[in-house]
Amino acid sequence: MKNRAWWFLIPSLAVMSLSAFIPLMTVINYAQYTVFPGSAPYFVGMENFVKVFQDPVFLGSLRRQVLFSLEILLIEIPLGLGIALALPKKGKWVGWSLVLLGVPLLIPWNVVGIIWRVFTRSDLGAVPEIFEWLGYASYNASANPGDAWWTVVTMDVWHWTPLVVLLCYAGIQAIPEEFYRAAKIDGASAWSRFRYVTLPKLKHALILAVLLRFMDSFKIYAEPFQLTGGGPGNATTFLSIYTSRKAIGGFNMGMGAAISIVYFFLVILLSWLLYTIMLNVGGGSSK
Amino acid sequence: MGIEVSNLTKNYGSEVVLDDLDLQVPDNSFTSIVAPTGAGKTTLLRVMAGVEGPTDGKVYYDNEDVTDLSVKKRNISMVYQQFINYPSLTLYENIASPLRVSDQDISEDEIESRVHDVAELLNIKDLLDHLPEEASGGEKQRTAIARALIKNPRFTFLDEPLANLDYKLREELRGQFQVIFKEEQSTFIYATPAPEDALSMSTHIAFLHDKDILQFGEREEVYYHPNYVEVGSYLNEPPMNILSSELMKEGNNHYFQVSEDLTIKAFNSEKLETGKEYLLGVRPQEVEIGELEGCVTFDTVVSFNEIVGSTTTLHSEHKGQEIIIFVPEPKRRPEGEKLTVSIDPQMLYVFDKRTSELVTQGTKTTLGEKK
Amino acid sequence: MSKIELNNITHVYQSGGEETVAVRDVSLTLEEGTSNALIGPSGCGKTTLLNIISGLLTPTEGEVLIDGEDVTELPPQDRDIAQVFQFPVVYDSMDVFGNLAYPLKNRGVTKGEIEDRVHETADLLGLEDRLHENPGGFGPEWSQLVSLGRGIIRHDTTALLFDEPMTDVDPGRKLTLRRRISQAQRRLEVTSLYVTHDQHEALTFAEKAAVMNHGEIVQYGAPENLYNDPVSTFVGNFIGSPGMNFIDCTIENGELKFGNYDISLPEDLRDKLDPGWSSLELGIRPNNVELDRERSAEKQIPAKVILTEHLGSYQIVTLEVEGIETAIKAERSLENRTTEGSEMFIGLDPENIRLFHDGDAIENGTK
Repeated sequence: MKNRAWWFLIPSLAVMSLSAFIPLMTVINYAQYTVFPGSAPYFVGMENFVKVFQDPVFLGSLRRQVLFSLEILLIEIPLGLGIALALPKKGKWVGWSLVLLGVPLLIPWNVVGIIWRVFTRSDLGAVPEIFEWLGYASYNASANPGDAWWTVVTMDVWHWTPLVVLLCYAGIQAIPEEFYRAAKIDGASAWSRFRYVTLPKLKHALILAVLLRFMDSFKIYAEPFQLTGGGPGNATTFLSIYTSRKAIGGFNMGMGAAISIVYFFLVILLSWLLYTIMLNVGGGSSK
Repeated sequence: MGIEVSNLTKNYGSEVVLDDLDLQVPDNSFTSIVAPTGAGKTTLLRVMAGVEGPTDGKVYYDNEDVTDLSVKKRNISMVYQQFINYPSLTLYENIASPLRVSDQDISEDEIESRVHDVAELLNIKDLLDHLPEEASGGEKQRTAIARALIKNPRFTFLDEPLANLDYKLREELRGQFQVIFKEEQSTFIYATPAPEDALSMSTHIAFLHDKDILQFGEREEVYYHPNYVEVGSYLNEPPMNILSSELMKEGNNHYFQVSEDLTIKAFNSEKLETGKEYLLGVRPQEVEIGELEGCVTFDTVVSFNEIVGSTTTLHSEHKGQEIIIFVPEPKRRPEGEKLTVSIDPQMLYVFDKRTSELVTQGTKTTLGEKK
Repeated sequence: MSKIELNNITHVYQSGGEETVAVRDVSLTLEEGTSNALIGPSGCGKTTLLNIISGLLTPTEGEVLIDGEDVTELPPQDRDIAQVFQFPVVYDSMDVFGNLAYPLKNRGVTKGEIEDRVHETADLLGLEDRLHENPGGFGPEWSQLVSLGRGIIRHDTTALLFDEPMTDVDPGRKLTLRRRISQAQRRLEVTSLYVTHDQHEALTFAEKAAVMNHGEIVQYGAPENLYNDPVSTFVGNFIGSPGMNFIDCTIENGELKFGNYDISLPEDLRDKLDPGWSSLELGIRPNNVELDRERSAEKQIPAKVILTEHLGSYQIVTLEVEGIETAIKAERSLENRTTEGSEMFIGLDPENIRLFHDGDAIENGTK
């Protein structure tokens, strides 16, 4: 049967090839050259790739990135799930709670960074004041690496936990009430009901939440760039910031291209690992 | 004339649902495609209607090859299991919708008169201004059928339309269907897993089994002359009793040995081979309780009672083989009770155990005079 | 294995200012260890009643007693009832063994005892070969057995409630499930209530069935009772496939008149009739309508066959009789089957006739 639907894909395919496919080919090409603006690119083969893995700044950024994503997942997933469980399932407050929760998701990412920068400024911000009042007088996000790190983490939690909440909430709503009734009849405690009804049934929602948050946090750029610029020093220099510094700041696009490719493969590899592990944990159907 | 399907194969990925299937649906017939759930009836219907294309093979309408013709161009309609109606339109508008989207220019007056006619036929004339959500299941399904009939399609396909209805409604509609379909000038193709649906409404029955049509013919023919044990057993409600036996010979006499306590004198022994295993089919309604003259009598033990309204389907066991008896009243017998039953050997169908084919049947299996 | 009593239960739903009476003054007693069914058309209130018994709903009025104790306000888990729902409810992160053991684990039963009971229950339900499989991949007819298993494994279950459990089950597999449910109930003698709109399921399972309509229980009795002595035209029609025939009639001089015909009634029945009654209906089951090609003393009424339905083991014949508005249905065995257009003669044996006035049965002495 000839399906005319295929014709409808042409515009999308055209846009995708222009914005994704062709640039991707270009990047792979550049990665094998040393490219400086103003002079002719010269072929270096795999040399860029080797240099990347020997660069201590790269390795440091990679380490920081992995740590960051891990912390994000460990905080946001349980927190998001917890909030979703606490939200009302029906009634007039449902609409309001969901809207209020969704607000942080709507703010443009660089604006999020700016908001947090203003709030945490040592001279005008509210956050340092609060810390002082709590007894921690030396809070300084622009000077103190520890403070900078945790401020970036907190900002991300504020920004993105609502996404986890919404995904889990939708998953919870989809669980038929009969399962809880049956569990209660079976004499299950609240924890047991959570462990054997809620959690298994949320498996796919959670996989989705973990994958989305992992991939996004691993590529995080705008918010920390606005908040700390990657500093103090390299304290909050994540892979994306490192890459752009090398490629744009350092004018070596060949190197930048190589880093991008490594980055790309890292994201894919780690995502795939996560997905496979999560799918097989806890048994149950992989439907 | 009618629909012809030849060498039809349909695969979904690596799964073969229909394999080299041939079927000819006669013009103006009401043909039921009977098979248990999951056998591929819906797939066959969809391919015949043109909703899906076959992987291989051809479909002909009135001798014209329509295999590649899109559904929209064929003059057919389809009724589904789930009562599909446009939720935002009134029942009137739902029924009128095929006329409104048709290529022909039909006047509003004509639409009105045709909608009223078909609504009257299906007994929903008073509900035309309701929305589907205000109508009951039976009413929604009747609306869907009205919508299918209104454009006088050449072929109407029905995919288990009664499956999701209360049993009482199913009863009612089954009776009404017969009347409705006789009045309409369409050829009907009806998929169902329920033998009573097929037997009560059809002119022709096609039995789908193992990816192919095992038997096709006029209703009476298929019912009284099942060519395979699968057909005979399925097309009875409750299913035919199938007893495993071996043909033995003593002197000049041949008999079927079902168990050490049950032997039945064989007939038409020239068609049978001694030592071979045969499946004996006997309809539950032909098993009589008590001792009867001229019949083979044996004992069984009651195992389960199924009360079906005015009748009881009595399950019993004889030396490991199940015997189902049709009792024409709702009566429960205690489990474990010993029962003496009789079967007239001329009521038996004899099937070859290895090939499932019908070898011979008793003289009383086909009915002579209708009274 | 407890006795369940419902006393004067009424339940009213409020929705946006409108009141719907779902259950109207229902009183019912389910004796210990008996199997019961609750049948009725969609919307009759049976699901509401079931939820009141299970504890999901507290009735607007009335009380629910289990073994004499008032449990009306107690939630399901405190009533020790077990319920099988419309769709299979299984824990898909555990295997069958884990599922069956769950209710016992939660109650602190010892490991050894759990092992014994799980095997016992699995044996009863035919699950012993599948104990270490995960029910998440089972077909609904097996998952329902696991659900049932969890309900019966506890020895303190007061009652077993079924809420249209065959809804998701394939027609071809319903028989096996029905059998196992019946066998389990009979072996364990658990007080049970099976709610459904399908009389086949209900009457196969239950020793006694309650027929419900518009929120009221119209009749509660053994299947044979409901069949032979329906207390109203509703029951007469609802029970039996097809339902009872109803013909309008009047009384004249102690004789029943319908259309152009009359039937003499037995003495004791005649005494119960009031000649002033106008809306009288004669009820007779299709399989009690005598039919023959030839006229005889018993079969005098000429009729014409207008529809035949071949149902696999018998035939339903719809007949038109001159002077009678409603068509009459009769059953014929296949060897006596007939065709449309045939002229036949009908006989109605007074023994099989039930009379109804205004929809309610008039008791006859012939019982």
